[in-house]
Order: sequence, then C-alpha cells, then structure tokens
Amino acid sequence: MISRRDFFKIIMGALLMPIIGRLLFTFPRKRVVRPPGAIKEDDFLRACIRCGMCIEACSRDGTGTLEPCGILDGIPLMGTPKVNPLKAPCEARYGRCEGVLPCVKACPTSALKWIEPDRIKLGSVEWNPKRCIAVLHGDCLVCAEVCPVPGAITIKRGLPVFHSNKCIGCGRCVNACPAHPKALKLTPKGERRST
Amino acid sequence: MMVCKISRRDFLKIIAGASLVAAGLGIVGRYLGIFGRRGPLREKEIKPNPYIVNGKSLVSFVRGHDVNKMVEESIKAIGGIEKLVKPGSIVLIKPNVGFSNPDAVASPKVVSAVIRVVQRANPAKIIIAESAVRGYDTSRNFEVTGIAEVAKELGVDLIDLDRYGEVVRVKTNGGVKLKDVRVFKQVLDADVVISIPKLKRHSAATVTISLKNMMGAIPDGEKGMFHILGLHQCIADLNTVVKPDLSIVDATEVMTVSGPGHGKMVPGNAIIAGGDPVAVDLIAARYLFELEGSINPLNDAMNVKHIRLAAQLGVGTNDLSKVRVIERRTD
Repeated sequence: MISRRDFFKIIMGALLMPIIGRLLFTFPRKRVVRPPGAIKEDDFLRACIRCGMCIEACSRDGTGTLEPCGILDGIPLMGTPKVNPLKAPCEARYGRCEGVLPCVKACPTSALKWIEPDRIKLGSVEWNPKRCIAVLHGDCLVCAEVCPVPGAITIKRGLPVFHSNKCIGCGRCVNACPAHPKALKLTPKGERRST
Repeated sequence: MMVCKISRRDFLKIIAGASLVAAGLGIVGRYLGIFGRRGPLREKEIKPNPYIVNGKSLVSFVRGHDVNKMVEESIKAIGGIEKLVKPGSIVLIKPNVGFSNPDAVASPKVVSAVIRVVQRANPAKIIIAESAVRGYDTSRNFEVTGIAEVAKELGVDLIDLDRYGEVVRVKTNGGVKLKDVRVFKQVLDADVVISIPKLKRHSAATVTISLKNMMGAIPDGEKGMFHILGLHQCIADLNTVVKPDLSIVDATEVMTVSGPGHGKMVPGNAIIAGGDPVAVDLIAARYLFELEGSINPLNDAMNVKHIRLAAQLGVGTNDLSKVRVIERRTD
C-alpha cells in the first residue's frame, strides 16, 4: 500500500519533472560551430533528436569533422553535432562533400536543411598572434597556404591577415596550424544558417 | 605454506600508486617525445646523379607548346631515361597534387607524358604517390585534377599516402635541424624517385619546386614540425635522404606573385628537367622570377634560402659554373 504521504510525493515529483526539464534548458550554453545547413539555433535544438546520423555520415571515409557536443558545451547542447576542425576540416565547400552534403542527407528531422554550396559559411576564424609561429619566428603561413578561398587569408609583411567576410569557416587553417597550442580558433561568428 | 595476505585497503593503495606512476611516465614520455617517435631508425644512401657530363650537372630547358614532345625532348637532352631507370626497378612518381585547385597542381598531361617515357625503360612497377597539403583529401585531389584518370589509362598504381602510407623513421645524411625524419616507406623503398613539381610561388618557402615537392613524401605531423623548426632548413635536411633522382618541372603554366594555393597564372610554356634538384630549382626559380619581371632573376633565385641551404648540405650544386643548361625548342 502507498501511504498518503508517498502518494503526494509522487504527484509532486511528476509535476516538477517538466519544470526541471525546462530549467535544464536555461543552463548556460556555448555557441558551437554547427554543420552546414543547420537551421536557427533555437529551432535546431528543438528539431535535433541527437541521433548522431550526421556524425556517422560525416566520418564514413574514416575521417570526419563532426562530433557530438559534450557536457562542457552546456547541458542543452549535449549530443547535438558540432564541427571540430582539430579532427578534420569540413569538406562541404571546396572538398569531397561539395554538392553532396552527406550530413544534411542523413538528418532524419530537418534540423539540417539543404544549402547551396556558395551560401555555406560555418563561421570564421579567430587569430591569436601570441601563439602564431609567423609572429614568433617567421617561416610559417601554413594557414594562407591551405586556405581554399581566394582572398580569405592574405599576407601582409610576412603575417597572415584574416578576412572574416570571405572566410567560409571550413577550418582547414585551424586543422593545419602547426603551433601548439593552436594559434587559430574556429568560431560561429558570422555564420549563415539555412532558412 | 605461507600465504601472503594483503588487506583490501593496501591492495587498492598499490593499484592507485601503480596507475599514478604509469600515468606520470606516459605524460613525461609523451612530453619528451620518447613514445611517439619509436621504431627502428633506417639509413639510406643517396645514389649519385647519373646526369653529369664532364663534372657539369645537366639541366634541360625546353620551350614549346606540345607537352608530350617537350617532356620527351627534356629527358632526351640530358641523356635519356635509360641512364636512370633500369629494367625491373620500381619507379615512384611524385607529382605535386597538394591542392584540389587545378591551377596549383602538376598538369596531368605532363604526368602522363613522363609515365609514357618511363614505361619505355621497362620498369617492374610505376607508382604515383602523394600526401596532400594538410586539410586536403589526397584521393579527392587525384580525382578532381585528373591524375586518377591518367593512372587508370596507363595502368599504373596510384597511392594516397595519407590513407595507405606506412611511416618509417630514417636518419638524415648530415641534417642540421633534423637528425632523423619520418617518411613514407613507399617513397624510401622505391629504386627511382621522379619528382614532377609545378613551378609556383610559395608563401613561406618563397618558391615551391622539386626540393619543396618532397614534403609530400612525409606524414602530416612531420609537415607541421617543419614549420615550427624552420621550414627552409628542414626542406634541405629532408632532401639529404629523400631526394628526387630526376626532377621534371611543369612550367607550362606558372603561378606567380602569390601561392601555393592561388596566384596569378602566367603561361610559361616550358619544361625544365635534370637529375640535380638544386640545380633544377635554381634554373626554374630564375625562370619564375623572370616571368614576374624581376630585375635580377638569378640573384633572386640564389637568395631562395632552401636552395642555398640544400646546396650547402651537398644535395646538389647551386654553382652555375658547374651546371650546363641545355636549351631546346619544340613546336
């Protein structure tokens, strides 16, 4: 038999559940770089069912850039895909996925929607001159070398200059940066989402 | 019989202590680079350059428009492929396919022309191998630039070193910054290495020709290391062990002003070939600076740091009195 007191506990618990659930979503969350074709962040979090199909499709050739967000990215984001250029760059533009977008095709809900290749912009890179090898002892500029976009990284007096308006956020420069720790960071600043 | 009794608490202590020691060793070892670079250290002797006549290193400079004729003439002018490729040997062709931009890679026409010439010498096997610039998929580069088609058409092997390459550690022959370097086994084991670079400008290395092209024979981790240690010296050190036996520079279209990914394309209509990568690079760099409209192209070419450093290490000669340039023209 359930006592009267226990019965009320259960009822209270059941009523609290959605409130706790809502509270969890107000936890601080990071802005992460989303895969190409992601819809607006709030809609994305609602639409994404954390199935990991895009992540699997991304790494079908052995290397892929997508990985699930961890607890450090914020509890509401856990399990959703993010672009990690340290694993591999995103190939959606000027790469093997151009015009194919396996991640978008794998998405069972429409959290990721088809996007034309020339509209893809995942974000932009941030440069930390204190770690940059070109600043410290010259002879590097690997970022400018690997950048697939004409004019996104130019060279001025032996140093790289990053043009965030042209950058598509593929992360090739971040991936190739030989500095340790990396002098470049991919941020979602200036990203272009699907509508 | 004595039974050694350990209490539960002591047992856990021992386990904790042992794992702490192991973790500590792992971290320290990784920091010092003990574990990452293990494996037997190999050595390799460098073969003498077969294209030397009367103490002068031969470099051919062929101008024209028909790529097949130009490549054939450039190899014939320095003494023919038979001097280098013996029947039954394994030939590795290392074109520059570092990018997916067709302007930035060795033209498939040149690569196919070279393979046709090499095939006449009856080698046991011809391999095209490349490890692209970091962040680029080598297999895709092969497809997009048309090298894969050439390989299929001529029936030669095509290896994406990033995916299927085996890494070995090899001692450099008197390298300054690099005492040993990790390279792909396929490149090290080949009897003959033929480099087909594209004549291009380079943001960090000034120019990228045959010496710089050998950076496609090392794994990605090592490429990053080169930039940290000093690119020019490392290129020179690398070429003391994995040196191209024959370099055929694709200067049909030359990337000037900026590079290596994007630049101003200028028609060069030339093929430069030779057995000495330093001499070939010097002549090719001179041509590049000439096309850029430099006042003193030879001086600029002499000042390219990795060419000078490679000459100091004995990879080849940058002394023009020891180089004979054979100029030809085909039309």
